[in-house]
Amino acid sequence: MAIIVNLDLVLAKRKMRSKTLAQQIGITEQNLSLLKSGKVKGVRFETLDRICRALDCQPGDLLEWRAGNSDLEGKQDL
Amino acid sequence: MQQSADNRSAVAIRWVSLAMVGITGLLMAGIAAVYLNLWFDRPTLIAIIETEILTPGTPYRLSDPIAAAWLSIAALPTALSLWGLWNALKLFLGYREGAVFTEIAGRRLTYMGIALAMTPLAQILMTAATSVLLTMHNQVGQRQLTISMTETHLVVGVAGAMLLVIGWVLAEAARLAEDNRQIV
Repeated sequence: MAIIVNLDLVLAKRKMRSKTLAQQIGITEQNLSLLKSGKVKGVRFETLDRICRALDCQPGDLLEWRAGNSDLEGKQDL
Repeated sequence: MQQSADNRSAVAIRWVSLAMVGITGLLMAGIAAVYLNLWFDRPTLIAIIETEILTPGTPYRLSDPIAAAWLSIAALPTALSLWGLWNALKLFLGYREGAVFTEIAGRRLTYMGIALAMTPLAQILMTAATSVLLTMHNQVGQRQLTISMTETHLVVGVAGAMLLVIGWVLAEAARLAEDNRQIV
């Protein structure tokens, strides 16, 4: 996946634990863990909004695009 | 209260599914036994020919090779029925395990629909082929091609097509639900 989730970094900068964030934004720790590891198909704007509010950050601080390893690259060549 | 009702419903589904596994398994064994018995039961073959395949009084020849060819053709609708029932069995086993709303359950329903829709067609073709096989040694004018289509064939075919579409939609819905579960 070319989209990298930097939630771990932002959490570390804010010195916040995953459990606390999960409670604040109203999702399970399991889902938050999946999100941190990038093992999800998507993130709702609603969830992103809650995370940004809780961590006082921008979506760009949480998500990063890196070239390569994209599932879409093969399809773009068609 | 709601959770208790859901649990009762889930338990009921499991028990009914278990019963359906047994019924489907017995039905499969019955169909296979009836088909295998036909290979050794010449009087039943003759009764089927005279009541269901040829018009009364039509001369025919039922030699061993012709009977074997007929029963080989009859294997097609039998195999389709068994395949449909096998998918039903797997579907109920899945329900028993709690896999009620899954893509595979939808696919199994689709396969059942295909089997149900194709079985009448296979039966019609089998009857036609058998009538030709039995009368091909007759003189010209006494050979017969029977195309027998009943209301039951139509109803079963349409029911199969409906099941196919329902299964297809269920599989697609389950796939979408799975996709949504992966969005946080």
